[in-house]
Amino acid sequence: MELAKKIEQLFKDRCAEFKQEYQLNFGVYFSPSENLAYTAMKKFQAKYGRIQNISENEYFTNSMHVPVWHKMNPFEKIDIESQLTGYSSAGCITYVELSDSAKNNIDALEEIVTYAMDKDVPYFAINLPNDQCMNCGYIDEIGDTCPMCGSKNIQRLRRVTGYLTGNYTEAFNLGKQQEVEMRTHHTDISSSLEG
Amino acid sequence: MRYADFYECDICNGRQVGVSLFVQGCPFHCKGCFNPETWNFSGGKEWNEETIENFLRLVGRDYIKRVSFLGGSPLCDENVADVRDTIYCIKERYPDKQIWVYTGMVWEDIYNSESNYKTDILRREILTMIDVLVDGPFDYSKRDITLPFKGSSNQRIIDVQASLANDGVIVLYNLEQ
Repeated sequence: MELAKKIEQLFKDRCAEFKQEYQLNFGVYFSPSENLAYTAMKKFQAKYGRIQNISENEYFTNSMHVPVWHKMNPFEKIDIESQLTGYSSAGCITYVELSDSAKNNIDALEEIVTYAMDKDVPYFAINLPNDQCMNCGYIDEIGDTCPMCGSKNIQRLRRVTGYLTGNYTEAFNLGKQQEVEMRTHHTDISSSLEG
Repeated sequence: MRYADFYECDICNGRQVGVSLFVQGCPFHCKGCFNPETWNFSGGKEWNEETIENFLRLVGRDYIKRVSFLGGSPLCDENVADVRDTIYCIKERYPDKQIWVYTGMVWEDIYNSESNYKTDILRREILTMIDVLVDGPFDYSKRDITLPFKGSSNQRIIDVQASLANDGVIVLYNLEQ
């Protein structure tokens, strides 16, 4: 965490310097970089190769986000990211991935949103898998076939950083497709009681 | 007792944010069960002093408002004593946490039982300590995946303390949409 804060402070300080120097409004923007996350990684790999924990995937993790595959609950994720959002003066987002059962649990949604607001997260979002059967209209997190009618004609709506997409396996670059595949839910996952 | 699984942050097995303990072992073997690997009483992992202490510590976190017991079968003869002891510890340490229990038995069989078998007494004692009982076996012919917090329409999400006061079942109707 200390290293992360040091890096963010550096960006913030540089913006302050530029502001003075050019008398223009510079700010740190924690960018979603839909395309840059992928193209910058391609360039990086061409120059430095694939380095474990740095460039082994097809994309860079956006801004100060906890990598999408880390298993932790929404509160732990908010605890980490809320320590870094304050370094951004131009915009940022923190989001958590919930399972589809959230639609039946408004109390839980409210508690998570309130927790984020209490931690001063400026912009908070909750992502839910939203699959719709194009045959019968049933909406849920759907596997290969619709559990209501058996149809395989499923539209898979996902939020990839800032955008909703009807079919993430085609609409986004390879890096972002991999990012979606690597995501873990932040609730309803098996955890250990040992040790 | 043994346990099959544990969710440290659960929003699908009860209202609010909670933890869920799936106990190991179930005598019901309902057709279409969502986790038949929990049937065998010798499967799963050991529920011992260390796991209980870790469990209680995770229950104690401020953002955890609820504890759900499911399975497997938390109220069957083999598991009910350990489940009762665990609920007792939760009530003692964290009296404000909501407690949900899932069972394949029905309310009337537990509540109306006048037997003095130890396990029957324990089940009635559990009712005095918990907030919600989701009762009844999973009936595949009444399966409905759109129902919140339960698998088939014969199952009831029961407001336990209201039902005890009323001397009859009161369902948490606002969940039935």
